[in-house]
Amino acid sequence: MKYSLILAALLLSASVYAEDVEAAQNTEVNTVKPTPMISTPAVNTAPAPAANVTCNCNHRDEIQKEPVAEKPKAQSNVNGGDEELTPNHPIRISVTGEGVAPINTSSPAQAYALAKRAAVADAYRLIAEKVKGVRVEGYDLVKNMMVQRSTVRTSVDAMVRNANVVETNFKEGLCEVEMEILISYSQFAH
Amino acid sequence: MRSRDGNFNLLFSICTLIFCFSNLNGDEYIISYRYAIKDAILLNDSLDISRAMTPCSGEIGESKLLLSTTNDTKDLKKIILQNSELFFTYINSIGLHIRSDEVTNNGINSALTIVTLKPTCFTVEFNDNLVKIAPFK
Repeated sequence: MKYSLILAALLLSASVYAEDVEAAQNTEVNTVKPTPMISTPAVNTAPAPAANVTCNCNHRDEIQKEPVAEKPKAQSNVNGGDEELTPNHPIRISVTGEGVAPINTSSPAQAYALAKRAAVADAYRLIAEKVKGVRVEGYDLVKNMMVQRSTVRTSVDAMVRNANVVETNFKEGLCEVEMEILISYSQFAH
Repeated sequence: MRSRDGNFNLLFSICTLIFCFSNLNGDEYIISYRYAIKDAILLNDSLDISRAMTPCSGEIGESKLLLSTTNDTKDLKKIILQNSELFFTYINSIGLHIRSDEVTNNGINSALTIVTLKPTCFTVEFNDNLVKIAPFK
């Protein structure tokens, strides 16, 4: 009698343990299954058990949130990029170029003039980048599975006309020039 | 009474008028300007001015620049350098060519920007203390 009671207790505990293991296996399957669905979220339209549905929805949320987080923001010193060019609505592009005075200048006035020239050129470059675009080339030299040299070249080639200097600031050797250009649809259509 | 040689006085006056009106536009100069910026510092600049060897074609633009001179000089380069800020603001409105190359090598960045005013024909009128410049389109 005593042994039969012990045997029954053992069987009961074994069955409870088996149920726990089964439940654990089921949860593992549920978490592993959604992995291929991440790559093709649009295909997964079939109804699924309740546990799977909640799990998949969570992963979908992660997938949809990622692009929002990585949405490129406009450059801080270039304004007017979000507007749309239409025949009735010209775009005003405003940029801020920066230039530095050389060390060997004979007077503060010369330093200001040279720094301003450099800042204007920088502002022109920003306008050209914004309006016409940038050509980007990248080279990576890999040797023995290690990156030896990484080079990125960007170039701009453009003609800028009717750009106006709006504001000039010169502080501690740094000259900032704010320039703007008005682009109309008829000019840009060519 | 009309002579056999035609109306010489009339022809002379017409030729004189044509000659005077042709000279009203002033002298023609070819001006080009180029400056290079390396790593946000002005590297060099060059202003080239020469008289036009052949008559410039095209219409004179509406945008004109008035430069003041203290002495009665006709050296255009000197006058422009005396009023350099005005002149550079003016050529901004005409149009400048931008060429920029930027290289990032192992995270170290270096940039070279070249701004160029292509050789453009300008008509230049010298007055007493004033020089009027206008480009040909």
